Amino acid sequence: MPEPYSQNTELERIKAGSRLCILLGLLVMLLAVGLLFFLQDPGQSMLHPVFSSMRHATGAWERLLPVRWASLLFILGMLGFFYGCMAFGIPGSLMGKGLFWYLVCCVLFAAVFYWTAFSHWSWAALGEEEALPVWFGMPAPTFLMIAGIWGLPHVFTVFYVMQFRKTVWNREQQEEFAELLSDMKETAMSGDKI
Amino acid sequence: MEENRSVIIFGFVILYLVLCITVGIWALSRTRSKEDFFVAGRTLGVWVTSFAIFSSTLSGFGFVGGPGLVYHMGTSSFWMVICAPIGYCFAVFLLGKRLRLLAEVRNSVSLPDAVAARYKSDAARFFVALAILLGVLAYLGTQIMAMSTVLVEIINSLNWWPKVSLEFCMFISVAVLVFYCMTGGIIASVYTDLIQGAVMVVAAVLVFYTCLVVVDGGMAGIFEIIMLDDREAAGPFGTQGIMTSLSWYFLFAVGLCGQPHIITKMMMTRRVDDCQTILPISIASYTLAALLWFGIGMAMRALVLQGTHPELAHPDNSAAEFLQHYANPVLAGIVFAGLFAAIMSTADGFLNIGAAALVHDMPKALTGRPLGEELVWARIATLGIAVSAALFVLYSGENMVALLGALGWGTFAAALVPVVVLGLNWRRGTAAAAVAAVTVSLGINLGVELLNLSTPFGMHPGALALLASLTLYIGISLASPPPVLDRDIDRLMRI
Repeated sequence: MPEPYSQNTELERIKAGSRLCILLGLLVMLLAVGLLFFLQDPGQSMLHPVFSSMRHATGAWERLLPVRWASLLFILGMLGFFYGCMAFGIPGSLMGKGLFWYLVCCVLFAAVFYWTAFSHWSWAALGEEEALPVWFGMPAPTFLMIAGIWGLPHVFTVFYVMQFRKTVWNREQQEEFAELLSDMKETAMSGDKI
Repeated sequence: MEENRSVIIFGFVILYLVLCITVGIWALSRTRSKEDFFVAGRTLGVWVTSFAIFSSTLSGFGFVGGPGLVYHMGTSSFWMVICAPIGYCFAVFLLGKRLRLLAEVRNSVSLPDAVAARYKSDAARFFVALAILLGVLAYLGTQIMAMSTVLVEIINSLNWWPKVSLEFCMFISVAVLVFYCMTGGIIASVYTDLIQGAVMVVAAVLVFYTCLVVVDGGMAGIFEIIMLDDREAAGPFGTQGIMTSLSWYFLFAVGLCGQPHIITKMMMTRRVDDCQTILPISIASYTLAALLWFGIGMAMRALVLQGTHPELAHPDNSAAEFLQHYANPVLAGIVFAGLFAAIMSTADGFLNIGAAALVHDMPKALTGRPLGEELVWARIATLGIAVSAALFVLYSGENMVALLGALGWGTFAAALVPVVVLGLNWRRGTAAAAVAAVTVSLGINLGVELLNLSTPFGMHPGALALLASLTLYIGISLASPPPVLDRDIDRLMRI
């Protein structure tokens, strides 16, 4: 078996770790979904009492109560799966100093996801009469969702662009691919399969 | 200007459709081989590819179904959009380089081609082609439905034109689509994407501004009105609750790299290096265009709740009615025209991959060789698929554009993510695991739909199917002996 370039062993090690992360993430999510089948669903929404083209939520706390732990578990598994998949594409150990900031962003993304969930949790527990926290004109948890869960992952794009020449498509990889193409041409002429 | 509003809008739409047909005819002169028809000869530049990727993601699903879903259920459907940064990262991180290299090494023109090369299995090729064909019917149906919904709204607003039915508009939509796709193939689609993508990004920002102006108090006013009626509709998980929202987030983030109309564009780029630029351009464009999804849906819900606008006959009319009544007529005309272009180019992409599955991949899987005169058969297949999709949407019973789109998205995601995404990044994945993952995912998705089963806490069946197919793929691969790959594929996967 050919050993095309020096980063190979390191890459294999990273990929083994990523696979474990992906698999664990999937299992945790499956566990969360499995739990749902044993929980009593009070109904999440109903037809709006006035406008039949809209849905209206059922009681905020009542509908969250049975599912709150399963949802936190689902988020945990989903993030594990995401991080495992991303490590396939831009292997952290080849990032050098960028790895620290990459990990910081992963932790922050997880933190903002849970912050949104817990903030909604406490928001739902408030009575109808109590004042709701509002940030920038929106309910605080909705603002967290939009600014945090939508906004923060853009940093992964920045990492991809910055690391592209180093980890995704570096000189060694380009040479290896050129070598593969030239081997294919040679063997095609001799009638063999590569 | 206001009294001629409907005429101005209609004029823009006609003008744009003529432009699209001209692009189709121009593309016909550039389509000389099956490589040109299916993968644009692998010559696309960075901007064309980036806009084609982002436009294919939004299309009729996002511009018609999206606002309709927000109007219908509040913020729940935001989760289908906010997952985009992660989804695009997945697609480009995991497939951008791999698919482009594989396409070059094996001269693949379709996704099942790439799958067959990776797994050395005609069974895997056949089942992936089948999944693509089934997904195309649902997703193409979404585009046809979206186009007809908007067309009926525009035509019926004209005083001097007799009223038309949705079925009539569906017939017109299919006829235009088939002409457009049969002439130009994928080249017409990607160049229309470039024009309409640029138009939609600018128009989305202007429409979002209009949404803020139409309701007193802007964004704060919109949220206040919605919260007064139903607090949860303005909360982070909307009226559908936390599990529905999370299952959408998972399905749409991970599922993006299983959408054949999006990822096959990565086989069409000129160079691997283009991935570095394609990712940020696609994400930035998508983020801006998605403002239309949020803005119109929330504004229409608020306007109806406060009594400024009468209740909508159908949630899918949100975008059309908002533009007809509140946007500047020129802006509305441009958005409608861009919307048609988006739908046409995306539908073209679907017809293209569906035709490839039918005339290129299935015959190859079943008989070991492709059909003769592939280009002619591809054009005939295009007609058959378009008519089937229109019939499917008429008789499926699912009457919301976005929910129909979610069915198509889920079918693609659950069947293709394990086989393509994990398969091209993990040499241990086996052909048996690929076949099992595709069949089980189709079984779950179609079973839930056909038997009308409900899932706990409103979780999307596509998310459950995706979870099951991913786990099954990894489990069966680990339990089977390691596969022996062709040497070129093995070397390629180590790069």
